[in-house]
Amino acid sequence: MTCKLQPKIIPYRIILEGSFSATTSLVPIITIEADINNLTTLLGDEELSKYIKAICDIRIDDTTNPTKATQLKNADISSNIISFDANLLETMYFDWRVPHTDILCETYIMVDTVQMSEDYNIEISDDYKNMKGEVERTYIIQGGEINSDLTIMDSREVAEADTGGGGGGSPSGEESDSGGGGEASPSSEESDSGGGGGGSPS
Amino acid sequence: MKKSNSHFSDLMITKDTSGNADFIFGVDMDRMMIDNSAYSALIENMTDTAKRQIALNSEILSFNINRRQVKKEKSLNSLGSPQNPEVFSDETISHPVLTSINDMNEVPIRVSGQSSGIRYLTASDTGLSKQTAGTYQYELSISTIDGFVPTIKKLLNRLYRTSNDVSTYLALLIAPENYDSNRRKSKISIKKSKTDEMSKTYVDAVSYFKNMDNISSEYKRASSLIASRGATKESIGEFQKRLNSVISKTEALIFKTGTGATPDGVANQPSNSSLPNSPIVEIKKSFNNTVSVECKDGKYVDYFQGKGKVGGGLNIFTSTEVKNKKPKTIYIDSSLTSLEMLESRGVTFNVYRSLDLASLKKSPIEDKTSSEKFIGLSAENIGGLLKDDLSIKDLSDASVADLVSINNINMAVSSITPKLSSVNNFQAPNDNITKVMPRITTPSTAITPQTMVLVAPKNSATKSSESMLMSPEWKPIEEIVDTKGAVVLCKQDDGSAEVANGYFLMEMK
Repeated sequence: MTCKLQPKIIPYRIILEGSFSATTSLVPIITIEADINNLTTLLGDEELSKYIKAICDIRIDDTTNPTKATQLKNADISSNIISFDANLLETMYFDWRVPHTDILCETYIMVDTVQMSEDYNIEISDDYKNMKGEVERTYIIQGGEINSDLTIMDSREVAEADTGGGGGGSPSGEESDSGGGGEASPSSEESDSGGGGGGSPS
Repeated sequence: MKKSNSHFSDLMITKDTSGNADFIFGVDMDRMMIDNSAYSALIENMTDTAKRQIALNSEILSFNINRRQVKKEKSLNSLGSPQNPEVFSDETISHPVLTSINDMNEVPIRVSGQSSGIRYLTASDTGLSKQTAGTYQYELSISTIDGFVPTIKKLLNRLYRTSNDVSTYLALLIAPENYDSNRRKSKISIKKSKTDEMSKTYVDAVSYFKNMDNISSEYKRASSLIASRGATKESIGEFQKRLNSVISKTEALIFKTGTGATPDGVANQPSNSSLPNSPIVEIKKSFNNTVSVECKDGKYVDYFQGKGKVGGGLNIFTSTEVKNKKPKTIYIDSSLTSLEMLESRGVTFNVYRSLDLASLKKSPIEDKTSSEKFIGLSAENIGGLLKDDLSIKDLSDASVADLVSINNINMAVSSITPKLSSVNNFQAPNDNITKVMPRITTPSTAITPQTMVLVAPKNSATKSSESMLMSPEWKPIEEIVDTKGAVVLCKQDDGSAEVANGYFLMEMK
């Protein structure tokens, strides 16, 4: 039985990059930005910190090739913030155009006690091997839909229909009033002045 | 500019029991607006979403339907010889029937269980019943603003405004108190409706150039780049880059119009301006189908006795009413004058050239001029004052009775009218009245009356609107199954017999 660590890695933002287009060469990337909670001063120790790793396993189920996975490690946890950039093509075939049922990530802290024992020439019991914290499982895409409970920044290029037909909805196409309101607003313009905002931005 | 009449169906025209014309036609309004635009080549490369929007912005300036009395005549070839097809003479002036598209009712007709994308417009010509004779053709003329420039103008207005908003947004995040650089998070919150509107503007613009797989998910995706909840300076910058890209693409369209218009100039025009860069599109359509005021053989078949309205376009009946309909032949002899009644029964009066009755008894029959020459069935081969021909004066004002005093006619026929209860037992006098046997018509192939429903053409692989308009197909009503509440277009096919409300709408019950 392994020991459990207290620190947890909680994703606060996930960024999806790449493209839905067959003609683009954009690499499919999932970036996971996370807070590290409950990181004690002991784990933050300078000597010890190099043995503490933040781990992110990304698991992908798709309809044609279920359960593909990639593991990312990041040693720098000092700022209590961590970012994992997963270039999905490095470890698997991946295409955003393929319908994916589930994409999830599991994040946790692990102390590399095996390396530590080698470096310090000490023996540790099996109980202390692969010491890791609580695994936080986060669904990015669940049942084919982006998890709306998460802050997911979808920066993928426009999904273009294979055939014509104008897409699944009709944009209003007409000018609408600006929002504004009590919160900070980038514009005080409340209605269409017909002036067009003064020309093209540089 | 592509000119085509394939944007319209034939005019499906029928008469109600009062003799007014009810008609309906299908029009692919969107395609008509696009194909007739001065910028159709540019529009060709845009998406269906853009085309729809351009059609929506093609404001109708005028819409008229006129009626004109016509006669068919052979066209002449280069050698001056008559040839087919026949053409309509245009010797008479047009009379306005409808002067606004609001005078027409749009009917949500379903074809083969689905909406066809074609607009079906119906209306009535209640003035036709006031005409007493003749064949009439209907002409449609529409004048619209070319919707291309107004569409691009509106799009640029929205894009420029959003671009300004994004710039302001980024400027706000430069201040350290507004942005957490470590966690790359905004400390200020922009109203969600605002960022949604900005992303919508961007996606709507992109949808003019790219067919989107799922536009609502594109709204969400674009919004995720700028929503306060997770936006970073980098993601907002990415959004701005994409926005500028679509602005450039839209501006390029304005330059390509060759009108000398600039994006700024177009975008800064007031929304209610007369848009000097927007050409006016004039569309004219003369429908080939005509309607004759006279009822064929002096009768018509009415399947819906006592039902139906006057005016307002084709009548609509429920499927139950259609199922229970029964034909009743209505003879319109009652409206005939005594002379016409006799004529309709095959009795013609002869007008003598001389008033010398004594000599008439000796005159051979060839010396007489029969009224048959003027109004009889053989008249069309002779010329003169003919039922199916144009007269010197309007036939609505002239009749045989104009040529002979009604009193004289009534006096002349009063003695024999009682005997004419049936032409079969009528005994022709020996002298001045010649009995002419009713015309013997060639027995036609017996046609079982059938109610037909408009369906999508099965031979068209694409089922395009063009094939729907140009090659409409009809199926017997018994083969049609449609959802409750659906409205379909029907026609009553009784062969050559004239049917009142021959075209009608049926609501499925």
